[in-house]
Amino acid sequence: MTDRTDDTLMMDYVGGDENAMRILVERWERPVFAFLVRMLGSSEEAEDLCQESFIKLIKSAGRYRPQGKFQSWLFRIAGNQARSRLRRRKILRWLPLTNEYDTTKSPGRGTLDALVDREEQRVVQVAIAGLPERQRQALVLKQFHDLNYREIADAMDTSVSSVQMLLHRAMTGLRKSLISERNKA
Amino acid sequence: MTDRKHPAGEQLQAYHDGELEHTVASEVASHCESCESCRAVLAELDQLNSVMASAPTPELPHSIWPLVQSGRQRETGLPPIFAYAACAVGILIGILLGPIQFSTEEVTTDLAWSETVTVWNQQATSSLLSVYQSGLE
Repeated sequence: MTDRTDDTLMMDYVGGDENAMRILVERWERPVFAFLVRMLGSSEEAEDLCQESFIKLIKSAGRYRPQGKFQSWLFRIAGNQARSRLRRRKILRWLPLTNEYDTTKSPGRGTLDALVDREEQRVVQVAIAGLPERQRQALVLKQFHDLNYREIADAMDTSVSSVQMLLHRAMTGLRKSLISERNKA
Repeated sequence: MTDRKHPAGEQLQAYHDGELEHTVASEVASHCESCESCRAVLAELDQLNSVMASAPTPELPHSIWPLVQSGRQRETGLPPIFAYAACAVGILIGILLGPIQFSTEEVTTDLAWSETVTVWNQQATSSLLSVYQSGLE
């Protein structure tokens, strides 16, 4: 059965149902991978850490309390992995993304429009990449994974008011970067 | 909140994201109706959101489930402490075998000694026999 909730699957896994974990991994591997690529700027590292995140999830499954917060819990694990990797790299800022993932998919558009779109997407990616780590994490969770402020706060182990501030700063930083890029062009 | 006092940036952001409590959201909405600069900020936030929404989603090339399974098996293998324990057991066996080897040497010595004694016994017996025979003669 694949219509079981995440909480049910976690409880089933703890109860000995191995297949429940396979369903959870297959359900969440793509969002976690996308989150990690946006945090790290590297598909290869993201895949590696995606795997590590799920192994950590499995190891800590016994401590999970089914309160409907699975997504936050999983993104917290993945976020910790990403931050620890960034720390290991001894950098706090992303290296600019260039060709890490394909930005050319703009079906049904004219070539010029597609080029403009592609350039704009590149600029946006670089701008997001330039944000401080926690601002980027909050922004990615909000913008690309539709977490609300409470869920982001849980995933980042912080308060809702901190998330509010992080997002405001992230959007302000993003706006400045975009304006600066456009002025250059 | 009066119409003249602008909401803080974080508040406007939260309002835009639909994260404010109903009463506070109503106050911000009422302010924005009469405040062009705040409406401009909200419009910018809309623009930023739509630009980000157009960004492609990184695609995972294949399922990582097999990797997770193998990684988990690796992790559930014997932890390094067992390697140290194996070394300690080896050393312990060495320590125990040392005296055993030594006592084996002692046994060997004992065996040699018993052989010597046997030879002596045989010599003594043959001597006694010869004395006995000479006595008979």
